[in-house]
Amino acid sequence: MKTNITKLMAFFATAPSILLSQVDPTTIERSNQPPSAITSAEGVNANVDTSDAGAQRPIFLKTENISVFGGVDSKIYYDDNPLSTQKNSILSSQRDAVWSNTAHLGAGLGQIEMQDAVITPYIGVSYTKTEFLASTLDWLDYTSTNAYIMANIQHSNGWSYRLGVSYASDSNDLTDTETYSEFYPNVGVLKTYSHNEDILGIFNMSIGYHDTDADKHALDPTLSRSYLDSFDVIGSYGIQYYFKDFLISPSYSATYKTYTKSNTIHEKNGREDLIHSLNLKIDYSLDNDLNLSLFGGFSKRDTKDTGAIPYDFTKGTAGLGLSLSTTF
Amino acid sequence: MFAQGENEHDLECTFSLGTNWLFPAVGNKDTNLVRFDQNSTFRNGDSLHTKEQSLCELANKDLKIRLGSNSIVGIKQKKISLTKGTVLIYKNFEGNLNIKSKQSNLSTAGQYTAIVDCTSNGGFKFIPLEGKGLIIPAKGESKEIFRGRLTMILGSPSQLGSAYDIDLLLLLKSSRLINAFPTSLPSMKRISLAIYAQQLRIKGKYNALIGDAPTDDNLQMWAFGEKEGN
Repeated sequence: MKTNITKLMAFFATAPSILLSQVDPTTIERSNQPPSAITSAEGVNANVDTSDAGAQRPIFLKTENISVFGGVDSKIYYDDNPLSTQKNSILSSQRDAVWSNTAHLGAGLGQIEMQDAVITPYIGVSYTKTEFLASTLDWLDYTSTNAYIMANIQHSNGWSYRLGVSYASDSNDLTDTETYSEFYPNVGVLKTYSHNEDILGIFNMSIGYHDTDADKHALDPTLSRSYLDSFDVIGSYGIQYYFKDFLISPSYSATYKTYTKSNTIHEKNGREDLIHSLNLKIDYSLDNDLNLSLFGGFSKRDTKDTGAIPYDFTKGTAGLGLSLSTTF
Repeated sequence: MFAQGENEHDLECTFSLGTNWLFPAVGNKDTNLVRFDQNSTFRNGDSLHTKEQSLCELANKDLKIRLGSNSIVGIKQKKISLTKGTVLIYKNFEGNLNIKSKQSNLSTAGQYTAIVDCTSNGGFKFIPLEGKGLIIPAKGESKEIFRGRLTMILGSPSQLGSAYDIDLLLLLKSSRLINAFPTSLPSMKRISLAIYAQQLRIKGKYNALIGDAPTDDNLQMWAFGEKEGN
């Protein structure tokens, strides 16, 4: 109880600026797709010479239609702006170490094979606890839950199309109350390009609508709880480069968001965000299911027509992750 | 009626590597044994013999046939006789195509890409890479073509022997009939899709490779370690 009071005091000491942001739920990377690893369940191939017919290695296939996959991820990282606030605000100095632990479970619900496409429906859930370790922000520790249903359509032209809807919810651990939730119907496309034998390029694009329910805005209580409702368009290009036992994955993504319910005295013309993100991840497989990774990234948000409320930010992160994933 | 020149079953040589010999059929225009090079015409009823380290590709609007080395193949209308060696068949029409080896024969229907590999027992392996259709033996029930499922074709009258799902990705990487030609197969995108679909369903791989079938009751398996997966 004493701890809780201390945390609450810390909260009021930094308010009202801190209320402006808390952990910006619109900048959290939310998983609403199955992990790509389940589509590449490739074991170690035999070293075989070429022949006219090719090597004929027997395999055994799943007999059941439903394939279940799951795993746990643990990440610890330094974040120079965990609350995604503008640099000249009080919170910009709140650098912190963040520890994030996720458990996820999903299932592929069979395959529908057509001549030029394979359709695979998926469902999945995840549970994440995020803790701020070093600063006084630990009263903002939160728990996220996520659920999704989606269909992935792999076409023979190389494009992969997907459509789905996800539900996400964040709860503050201190007050045990939900601070944010959203439904996110979305559609997307993905295509991979083989630049050479070792380098794979991945283009990804999606569009979706965030139907949100957020805590009242600290500086403008007149805003409705759905003031974060928004359309977004996300485009990204990433490289996967295999170097010895390492998988090196740099990527760039750009997100455009336009908010549909933010026309208030502060935001006369509506809010529009453009977020650029550069990321680098280096994976090392400890075995087939266990993966160690180093990652880092830089993000920048430019917001147009926000009136008095500043939403621009820059942030950098760097950390270490360990993930265990398996199929059942 | 198409005995000379304009036969719809004639095939053009679209690629030739090494030493390939054409054995013209009796009644065709030229009857001498001739070297068979790119842009040559393979007339209905002719036979082709590829030598060691040689490859050859024949094509018309309905078929694309790639011959491996040391192979002997004759093609007459919708019948392919593979006396020796290995061929890849890209079948782009719905009707029946008959595949015959020294001892066995198989009727196939539907559109597909498959590798046919002769075995020492006189039969052959039928390995579909993609497509839909039926394999119809002389004796016994027909089966649907299923990507990556190697089926032994045995005996005379022929019947379907054991079937094995094989790793398509490894086959793709290691097959000269797929990789050693300057142009990719017209069905390459569908083959890639078949590999994707198979990868989604792979539970494990045996550390063994399927070899020759010296007799109908004996199939060589070359083990190289322990089984992966569950």
